[in-house]
Amino acid sequence: MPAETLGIAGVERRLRVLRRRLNFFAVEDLAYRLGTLLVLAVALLWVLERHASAAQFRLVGCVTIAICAIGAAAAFAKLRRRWMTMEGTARVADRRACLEDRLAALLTHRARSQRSPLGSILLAQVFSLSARWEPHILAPHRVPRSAYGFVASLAVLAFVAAPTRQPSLLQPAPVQTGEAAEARTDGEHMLAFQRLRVMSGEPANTTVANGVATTGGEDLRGSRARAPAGAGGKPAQPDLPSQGDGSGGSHPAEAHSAPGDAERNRRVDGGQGVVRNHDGTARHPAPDEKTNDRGTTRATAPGPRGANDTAHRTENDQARETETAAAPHTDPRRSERAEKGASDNPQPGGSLAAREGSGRAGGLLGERPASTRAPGQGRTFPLKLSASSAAAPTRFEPQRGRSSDEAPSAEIADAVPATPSLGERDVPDAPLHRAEISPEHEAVVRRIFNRK
Amino acid sequence: MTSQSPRALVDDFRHTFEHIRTELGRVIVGHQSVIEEILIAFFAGGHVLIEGVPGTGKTLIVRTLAQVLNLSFSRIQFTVDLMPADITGTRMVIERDGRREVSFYRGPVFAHVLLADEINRATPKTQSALLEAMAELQVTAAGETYRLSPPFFVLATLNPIEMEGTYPLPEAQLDRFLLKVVLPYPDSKAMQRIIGSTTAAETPKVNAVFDAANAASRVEELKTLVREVLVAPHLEEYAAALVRATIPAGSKFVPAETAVLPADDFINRYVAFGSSPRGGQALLLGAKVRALLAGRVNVTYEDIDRIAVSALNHRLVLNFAAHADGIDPRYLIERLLHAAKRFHR
Repeated sequence: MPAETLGIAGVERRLRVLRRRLNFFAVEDLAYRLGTLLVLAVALLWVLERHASAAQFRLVGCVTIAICAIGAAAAFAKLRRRWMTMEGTARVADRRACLEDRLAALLTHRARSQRSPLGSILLAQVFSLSARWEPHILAPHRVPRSAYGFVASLAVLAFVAAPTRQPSLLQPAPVQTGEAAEARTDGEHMLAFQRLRVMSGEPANTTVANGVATTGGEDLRGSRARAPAGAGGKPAQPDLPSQGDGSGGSHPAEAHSAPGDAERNRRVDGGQGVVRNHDGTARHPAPDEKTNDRGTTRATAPGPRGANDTAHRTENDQARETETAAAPHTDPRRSERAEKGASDNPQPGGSLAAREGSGRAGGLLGERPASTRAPGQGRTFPLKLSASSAAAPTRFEPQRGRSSDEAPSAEIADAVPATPSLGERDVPDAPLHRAEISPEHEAVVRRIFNRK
Repeated sequence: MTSQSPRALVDDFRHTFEHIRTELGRVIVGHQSVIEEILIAFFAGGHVLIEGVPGTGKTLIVRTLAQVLNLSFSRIQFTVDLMPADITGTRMVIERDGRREVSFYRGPVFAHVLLADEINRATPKTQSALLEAMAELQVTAAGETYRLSPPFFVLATLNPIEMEGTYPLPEAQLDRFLLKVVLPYPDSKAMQRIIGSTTAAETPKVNAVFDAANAASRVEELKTLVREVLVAPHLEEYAAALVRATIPAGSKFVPAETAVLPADDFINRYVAFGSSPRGGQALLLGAKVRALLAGRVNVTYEDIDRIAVSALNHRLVLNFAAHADGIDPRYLIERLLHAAKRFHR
């Protein structure tokens, strides 16, 4: 076999290696591109599956699949264009190694039926430059740039899929308003209390009505009310009638409230120092409540309360409806009723506020009277902006960047008038006492822990 | 091809070329690029149209070249009353030994190197007399065909001024020339050397490169070697694309296909007719000679680009708008080459 033929065969062999590398790189690039496309599509569908409606998911899913199909077709078309023949490989080698089209010309020479006498010169030139066009030099093994895109798409997918494993990382906990949190805590307390009673062998007919535990018909409100009284700053009233005015804030479960509630209620009331109860009635806070808002209002509880809670609230609503219907919302009557209430109930703290609040309730709440609310809707505060603005001669700037748990700022405290001047027959609130633990509750807890 | 090794042939070509150029340089002052292009056309087997103002040495270049190559040389001064038979030859009644017989009297076209001086002063009929000789190396007179002995090399000069009484060359005639070179005015130093050497008592002498006996065969050998130079398919495609790009898009002779190179607006606006396939042949043949001169046996893009202006500029037929705007076909081709740079990748 002539030396020229052998030489051309050697060149072809090397070109085949180079061609294989180039084509492998093209396939690798295609795979990464397709992978990127698919991963991104999966990520998109994942997000849609969790956040979009079925119709949106279907629509975007179809579009995504179509885009994937088009992208795949385009990628394959590009691969077909990039797929190297021997001639194309020779051109690439010529260009990358600056061989001045010698390899391509040599392949042409090989294909000729009548070879040029200059072919041997060309072959010699190609071999003299062989160090330039080693396959590993011209096409070294490297990762295509599209691999970075693939990795990025995987990161996107991991980011999207992360909430499934660690919801707290991506989905912030739902913001609980002070009242909701408080109410839930309150409800949990009551449930725990009931559970403790069951565990300790208490009678099974113990119920929790509106946050008040009763055992066998015995109203535990008085004993229960003593516990949060320290927090609420109001002494408990054991003989409070069940159908009485619940707006007085004497309800033991109402004793706990987030400070944000008090602040919000003050804003709603135009900074008049009026705190609002769970049923929309308002009252002036006790002096000790001014210094410590915690426990001034009853949080509207979205937590588990039981059917008795609703029943109890309905009773209160009925009583308030009667009162509201009988009393038009005019200032003279309200002040008159306040005076009457003060004389009827000389208990410090809460009673005056309760009557004051009950008188204002109809005016500060929305158009819908409180008595028309359905059971279970007591948590909502349908306020009209006009009512708020009308009741608030001085509006406060929104307290941006402050959470609801923060205490009101100094300027708000200054703007809010202090305790309204007491009348001649008014008695200031009693100082705050630490609440005593109810014997029943203490006995139950002790029994349980002794048994263990 | 002789029994010489291919490497020796290539080296011989380069050496011969340089030798001819050196000998021409003894007489011709400056114009190195023009001389190189003339020699490229000569070894490529084509003909050259030289355009230049009078007195720039057109005739001197051709005559000196014939002396250097040691080939037969003819010169025809084209005038208005020149007839085709004055070029090709004619049948004459010659009395020999008391007998009259008709024999063909060969014209000046029967030479290796033919200088057609001021070719545009003859009528188109006379100009066309060269067509057959240039294209097919043969002359037909009175029904008989006479072969021209190779090499046959026509150098025609063209006077761009004094246009009154001249006849523009037909496009078919122009297309027969492989290259058209423009002979500019010499620069100051070259001018000084020209007037000094031509007015001295001693005129420069040139030495013949080839022996008179084998000059023609040697030249043919070298021309054959040029045709052996290898061209990759993509370079042939590039040359074809360049030629195709000179054709305006609105031409009714354009085939319905997508051009490889984008259509240039200037071509569409100023060109009436583009280059013929002979332009592509000129590109590749000229590029092959350039490749050999560079010591390569294969053509590159640069070889084609460097010969493109000379090979294509006389093949573009410009329209009235181009003449009105003073557009030079060389400018159009340079634009094309600039746009075709991306084809190199």
